[in-house]
Amino acid sequence: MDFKLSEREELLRKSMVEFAQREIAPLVEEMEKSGEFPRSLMKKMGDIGLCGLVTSPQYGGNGMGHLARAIGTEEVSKVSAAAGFALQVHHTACWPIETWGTEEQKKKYLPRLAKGETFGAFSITEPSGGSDVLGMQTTAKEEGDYWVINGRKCFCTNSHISDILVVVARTGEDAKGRPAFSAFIVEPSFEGFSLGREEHKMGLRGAFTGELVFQDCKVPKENLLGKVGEGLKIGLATVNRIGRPGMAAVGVGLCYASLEEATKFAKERVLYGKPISNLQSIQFLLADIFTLAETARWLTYRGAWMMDQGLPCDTEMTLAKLVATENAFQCARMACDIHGGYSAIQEYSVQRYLRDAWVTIPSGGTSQVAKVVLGRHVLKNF
Amino acid sequence: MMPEMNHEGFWVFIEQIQGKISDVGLELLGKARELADAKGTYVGAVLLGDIPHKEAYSLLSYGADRVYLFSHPLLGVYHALAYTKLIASLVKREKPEALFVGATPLGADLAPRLAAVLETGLSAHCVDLRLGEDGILEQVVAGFGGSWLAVIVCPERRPQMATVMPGVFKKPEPTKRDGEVIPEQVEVKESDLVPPVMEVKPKEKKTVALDSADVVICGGYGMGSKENWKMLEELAKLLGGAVGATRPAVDEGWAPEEVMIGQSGKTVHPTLYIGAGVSGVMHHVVGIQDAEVVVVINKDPHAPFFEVCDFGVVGEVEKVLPVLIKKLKERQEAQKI
Amino acid sequence: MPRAVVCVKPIPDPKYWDRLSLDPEKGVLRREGIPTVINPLDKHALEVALDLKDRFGWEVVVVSMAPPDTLNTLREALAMGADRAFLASDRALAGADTLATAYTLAGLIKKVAQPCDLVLCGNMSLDGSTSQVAPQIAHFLGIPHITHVSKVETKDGKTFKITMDLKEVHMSFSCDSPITLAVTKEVNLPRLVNIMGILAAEAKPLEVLDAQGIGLDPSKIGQAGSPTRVRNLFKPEIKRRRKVIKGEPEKVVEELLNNLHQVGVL
Repeated sequence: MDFKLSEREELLRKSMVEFAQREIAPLVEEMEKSGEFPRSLMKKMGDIGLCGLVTSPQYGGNGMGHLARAIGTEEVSKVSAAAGFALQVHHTACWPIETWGTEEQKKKYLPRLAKGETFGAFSITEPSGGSDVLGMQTTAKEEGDYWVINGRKCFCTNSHISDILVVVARTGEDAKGRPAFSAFIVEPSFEGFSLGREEHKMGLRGAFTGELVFQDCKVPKENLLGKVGEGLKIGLATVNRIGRPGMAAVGVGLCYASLEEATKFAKERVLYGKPISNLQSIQFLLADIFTLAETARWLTYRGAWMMDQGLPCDTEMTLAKLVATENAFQCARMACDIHGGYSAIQEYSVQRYLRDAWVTIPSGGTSQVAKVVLGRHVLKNF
Repeated sequence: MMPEMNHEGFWVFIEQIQGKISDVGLELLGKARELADAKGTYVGAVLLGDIPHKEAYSLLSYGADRVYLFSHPLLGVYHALAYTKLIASLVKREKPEALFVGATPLGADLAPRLAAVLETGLSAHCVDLRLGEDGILEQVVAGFGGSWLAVIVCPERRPQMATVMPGVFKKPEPTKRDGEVIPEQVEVKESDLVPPVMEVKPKEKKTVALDSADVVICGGYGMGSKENWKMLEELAKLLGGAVGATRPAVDEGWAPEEVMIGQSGKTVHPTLYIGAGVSGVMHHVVGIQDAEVVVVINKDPHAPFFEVCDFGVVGEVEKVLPVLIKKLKERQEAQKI
Repeated sequence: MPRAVVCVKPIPDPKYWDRLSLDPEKGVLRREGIPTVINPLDKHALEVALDLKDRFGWEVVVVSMAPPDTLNTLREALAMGADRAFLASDRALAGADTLATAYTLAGLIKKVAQPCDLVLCGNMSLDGSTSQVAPQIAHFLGIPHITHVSKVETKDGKTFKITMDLKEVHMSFSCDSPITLAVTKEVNLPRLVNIMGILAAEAKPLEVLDAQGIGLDPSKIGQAGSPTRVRNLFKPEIKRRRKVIKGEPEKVVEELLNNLHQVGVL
């Protein structure tokens, strides 16, 4: 077990820190105000290689892998968790297309995604439930050369910037009479597709989260992803192996952002004639933030490493997501405590970390859903 | 060059731009005079350009005993290889023990090449020059952004070369002195000037960015009004600096958010910081702690800033700033004469 | 194919300069454990070369003189887009001042990168900040130099217009033969390292050579070849003077200006 990051990974981290400082930091204020993801950032993330991290070189990606993805997403998120959020959701379209796509689908869609010409999106959640996946109402029926989709999806991140969306819909019943689902690659130009409302979020502002509306939306037959009935499998695998670790990496970025801001503030803020970093109570808070950040980081890296090794890791990824997002919120809370009254002022970033961390918690499955998964795992294995 | 018993004399390279001698050469002459007197030796000045003889005489009144003058139309504009060749052969002939060059862009371009041709040592941006107990020149330099100082010596090779930034040493008062101007033979052809100069353009005055400004003038709540703020801009223009503000001044609308200096704003690293009407609370002071010299003008003698400044003026900004501006203008006019 | 050589210096990361400590016995700064980075201005120099590679197909070679644990900085230069990298590393090179350093780098360039059309350096390193090495390398290579370069312009990759920033004027030179340039940060915005570059760099040649391998004269390298020595090294005390001036504005301003002149800021 080698816990040392390789030279390649250290250089990756360094480069992503510089990229985030140069290209993302100047945009954060506007992202907070408008709630919109800057479209120019997509190609920049493509050029720097972030978009192609989980896509093989033969399809235009760099395939550096999942640990690299964790590090890259973390460093982006440290500067803007919203940008990290948009990036990680983009990967949730790249991976299933490469894993279940036909050669034609891969050649058609993956290079565009890897270059950052557009960001991908993955849509399962509906007003009828995200946690209750089997309750999905959106249907897809075979009609001639098309699958016709009807329904409404909500809380779809990258909705308003994505040209390539992976959508899961109910296509029938399985042999036991339970609902069966299939996955489709949808382009916004397809007849019957439209964008619904854009949500105004209180955190992770700077990533679009919106509704997808399907009214007799005609999806060409060749855009079925995987086999009929594989939709749930594809959806869950994507959430477990890409979506959750992606959210975990966003959480890790937020943890360290809180740690650095809080430490900086504590060293500079003078009360009672000395910097408050001299006070034990502040040191204890910083120690707690550090503990939570390190825990989040290493659980996240462990899951990513397992994915790179080809090992089954659904449980480890769910654990990492639960811990990293919950810890991000706690770290931000404590960082705000250290800032005292200044945590309420918008010029100080810690209030943004708190709001961003809150929104990471129900993204990629709520903490309670995560605990359902982990509880089941414990009962089965201990 | 290896030292021989007869390496003697403290020399200064005199920089000139378009016929006008730069102050840094005169400042170095003052220091060379001091060192030469301590050692009982002479001061030499080396001047290249397209210079009338009588211009060179002025250097005697600043401390030079001898002025070696290379005057030629082709030397009017600086050229590294031509200047190096002429100075190097002079140095080899006359054998001075030390040679100082102003650390201007020109000096920093010339001195290293010259040192390499002479196979001698050179230290850069010295903050002090003094004689060690053994008569060797001790060259004090700053490294790591000024956080460390080193004393450098060049024990064996001669001349001991050093560059010094303008303003480190004081320009001496000119006095009537005897000495000689030695016109040197200049053998230079157009083909020696490689690469050839295409054009020389004066620099436009750009507005100075706060982050890189050498001089920062910062206004605080004590400035009182947007009208008064104009004085800060005038002061900044006179000193070639940038204007910053504290949070209360920004909140009053006297300056934009972008120039706010402090914990949640910018950090600046100027040589000179002047805070006018600034009380000096921690949030602001952390943004300027790297400033070399901190000046404060505040009417409240109990303002915290007076504890952490170099020079604190107790007074109202409305009364002090106009006088400061007036006197700076007077001093600048006097320098031009 | 025309060739550009870029001299790159690994320096202790400025973020950790407060961790530098003095070794009182040796009289040198302890740099162990402090991560190194490429001197920022060297990245601007490298960007000039990479631009020539993009536009005119130049080969870009990176050279450095440093301890062997700094290979990561050369790898970063390769990841930015350089083609080959060489490190001169040897105990005998230690203690070099700028003259010995320039001699070493010129020797390395002659060994691995001749003929070369352009030698590029950053105008100054953040740690030593002497700005001396570039003109001295040019001397050892027998070519002209221009420092404080704020613009490098060319339409054909053969004839260049080089602009030097003096105190009050810009001087432009026309160059079409080998020259050493020391660039300032005005010259360009260095590209970022991207992930594809990081992966490609792993296959690019990165070689370490010692003094003998380069063919250097032992009397001209390291401490032996350095005319200057450090006699003493210390941390300056920064204390504020806390001089308060009271009185009538005329008198007070006069006294302030005199003080400022005395301390050298005016």
